Amino acid sequence: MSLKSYIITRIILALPMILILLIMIFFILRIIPGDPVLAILGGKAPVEVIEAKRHELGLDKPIIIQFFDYLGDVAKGDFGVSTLTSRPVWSEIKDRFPATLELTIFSFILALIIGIFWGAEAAWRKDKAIDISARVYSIFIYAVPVFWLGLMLQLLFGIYLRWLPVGGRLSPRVSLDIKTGLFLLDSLISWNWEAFWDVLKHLLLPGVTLGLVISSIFLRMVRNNTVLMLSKDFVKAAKARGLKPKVVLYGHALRNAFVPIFTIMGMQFALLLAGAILTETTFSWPGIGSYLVLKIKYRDFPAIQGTIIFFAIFVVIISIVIDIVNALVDPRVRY
Amino acid sequence: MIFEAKDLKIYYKTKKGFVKAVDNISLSVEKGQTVGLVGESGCGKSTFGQGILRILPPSTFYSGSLKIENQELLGIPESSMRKIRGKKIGMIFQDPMTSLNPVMRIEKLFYETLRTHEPEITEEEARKRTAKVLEKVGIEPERMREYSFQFSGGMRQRVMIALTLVLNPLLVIADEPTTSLDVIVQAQIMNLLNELRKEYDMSMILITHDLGVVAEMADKICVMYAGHIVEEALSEDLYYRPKHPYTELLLKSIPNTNINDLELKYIPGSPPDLLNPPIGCRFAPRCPYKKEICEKKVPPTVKVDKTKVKCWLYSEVEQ
Repeated sequence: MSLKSYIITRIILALPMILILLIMIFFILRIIPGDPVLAILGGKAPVEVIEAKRHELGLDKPIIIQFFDYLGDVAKGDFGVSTLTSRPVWSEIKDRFPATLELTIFSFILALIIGIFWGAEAAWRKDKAIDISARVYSIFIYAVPVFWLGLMLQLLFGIYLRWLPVGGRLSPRVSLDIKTGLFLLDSLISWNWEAFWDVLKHLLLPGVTLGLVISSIFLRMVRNNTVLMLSKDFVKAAKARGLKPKVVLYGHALRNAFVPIFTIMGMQFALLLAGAILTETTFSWPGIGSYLVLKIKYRDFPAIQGTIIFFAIFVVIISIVIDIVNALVDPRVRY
Repeated sequence: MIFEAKDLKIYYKTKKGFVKAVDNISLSVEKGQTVGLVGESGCGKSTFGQGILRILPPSTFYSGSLKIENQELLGIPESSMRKIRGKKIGMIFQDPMTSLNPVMRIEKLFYETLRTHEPEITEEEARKRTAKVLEKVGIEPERMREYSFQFSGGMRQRVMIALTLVLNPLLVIADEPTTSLDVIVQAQIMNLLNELRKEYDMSMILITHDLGVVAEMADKICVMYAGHIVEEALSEDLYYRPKHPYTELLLKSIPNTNINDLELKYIPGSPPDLLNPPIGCRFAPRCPYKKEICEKKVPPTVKVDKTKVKCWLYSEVEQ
């Protein structure tokens, strides 16, 4: 199957999934307690005002009609208007997304570095100190709640040591020309070193928090798969040809270990987004994770629905990208 | 003499104690000679093969002496050992389906191997030598761009052989090179190995459980049982004048196609546990000629005609 038809198939297959998700989120939001109108106006507003607002938002129509109206709009690419801010949901998400993307990329790279090197070395020296510490580390970090880890790091580096800021993306006094929305990239493009350091300092705590959490899963996978690959015949054969341990470990064992890791990583990505929501909330990081939490608080139905669909699309795209990377790493997928 | 093992012991360390997989083995290989190492599964023949290259688990215990071209191998550091692996002693593995890295192109495997032992080699030069050796084993050089999984089992074993030969080692250890292949391909691979061995003037240790395979190729055959070499003889002597009861029974249990002889013969019992092997002769529990002394004392290796045999039947004197 060619790459193009493969991607198209994957997208078509994703459509029913997104529809089901949309149906679920739409009705669940309306079943759970909480009224968007009361959330906006407060409990003490006069009945006429509440009724007027309810009519304005279209919430007085039967729920089925509301659903098909919404579905029609979504099909046209219109995700509605936030009931809280009256701004289009899609543009709000677009504004918030780069912050999440920057955080996730930073965390992912950190997790990759920790996972690959520690995991591979732990597998090479199985049952030695480096391996045992890797196992203890990954279980400990995996068991610790993300927000607790975040709070502890905030307390240590933000409050006691005062080295790093505890929230936000950029200090108010620092100016930055925003082009991509990825602040690190923006500050690099404009050679704005002051902004670069400021952005990096802000990114460090949330990035490390989320990065450590992902690295725990990743480290375990790399370690276990590499241990498995090191027992394979081709590793023995590579040793028998006199190859150096580094080549055997990284060139032969690790490369093969990555094949199943990519598949699992694709599935783990949804979990990563959940972690991002908690991290963003802990560090007041203005991404879509904290956006979603805020909107849930105000029962902003269109915004919540829009964000969930956005997450779903994002996960689908990432899993397609991971499949393509997988094909690059593993030639058996290609032929 | 190209290769010599003397009183070689290879023990695996386990929680229950040492598994004496190779116990006091002495074996020598002359230049250009092929030595067959025969025995049933679990008798220590693969351990011996891999032990020569020291690619067994790091906790493995070695003692005795292992020499290639008069250079002692036991006790030398790992970095010196790496220069021996591939370059002086090459190894062909049992299962070609799993012995080649599936995510690397064939040419990369060759380049990597060549560069390890000849750091100054260029990619161009490596490709030339790869093409030459692939042609020798009967694979079109263009196929070096492909991955191992694109080859059939027999073809992969040819690649494996080429990958061993490209460094032109003094000694090749072929560890059951045809076990996982079908009979016709087996014969092809064996003929190929035989031709190449002559052409490259290599010495070879051919490890197998197939007596038919070694008969055609080996100059000398060593029969292993439970970590011991029980008989060492010239191929002809071994087949026509077997000395050790185990060899005799092994030869009798080769299935034949004679229609009047439908019964499949075998040796009753199973090989001993190498964690606690029998005190005397290790074959004694299964031996039809067993005497009293057999279960009390390990028999010495004695020479009968041109054959060396480890059995009490031939050393009555010492009783």
